[in-house]
Amino acid sequence: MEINKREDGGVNIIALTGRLDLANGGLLKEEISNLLKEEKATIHLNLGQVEFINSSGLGALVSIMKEIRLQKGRLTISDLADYVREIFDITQLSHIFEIFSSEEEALNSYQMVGAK
Amino acid sequence: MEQITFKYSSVIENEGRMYNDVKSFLAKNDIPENMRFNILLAVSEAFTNALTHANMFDKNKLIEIFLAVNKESVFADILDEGDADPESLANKRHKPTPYEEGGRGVDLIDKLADEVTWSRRKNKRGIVVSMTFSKAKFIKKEISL
Repeated sequence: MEINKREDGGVNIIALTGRLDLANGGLLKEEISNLLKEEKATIHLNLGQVEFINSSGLGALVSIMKEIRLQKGRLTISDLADYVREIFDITQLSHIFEIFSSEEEALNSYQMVGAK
Repeated sequence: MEQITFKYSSVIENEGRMYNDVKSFLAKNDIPENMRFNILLAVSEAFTNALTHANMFDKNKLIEIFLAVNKESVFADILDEGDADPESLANKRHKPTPYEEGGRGVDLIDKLADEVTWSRRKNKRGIVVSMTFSKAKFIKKEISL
């Protein structure tokens, strides 16, 4: 799995490419943990290039979300392929994550929150 | 009937190899893409259970995957060398709350496969998870699109 990081308007954007499974879920958790150590708890995950996700990958995302919330940060997700979205729905995870159809839409939501 | 068997030692690096092997076999046999994803996911869940809970990352223990395809269905057997009790696994109908990090694997297998059985291996330690996936509903879906 490839993990590409950048920052836009105070939001840490992570774009994932490849499979999000047992091995790669661990790598992603490590990456997020490093950001949280630097007190960067405003994180957006672009899953547009994720070709496969299983329950281990979903578990990693739940773990990440809980860590971010503990630090009073925010996690958003976007660009889910149809079959990835379906797995979020089957497992009811779509109810607990903030999911946007595009990265742009997700980033706009941060500006709206910041403007309040 | 097209069929193939893959064998992997129980190390995490084989997770990716297994994914590529199963994906290639399904593509080679013209399995519709939406069905391919469901099979890959269910097989991956059974493989992860075998790797972590049954074989406990013991590199000397094998995980075998048998795949077969005929006109109507795709069949997948995942065999481990662990000590799990197949009856307890078959009855493990844990429905995790969304905030739980684990415990979704067996539930997903149940939802994705049309038939699932959990049984003890004959003359050998370990269990077999046997799954059947019917092509009919996916072919109908593709035609209606």
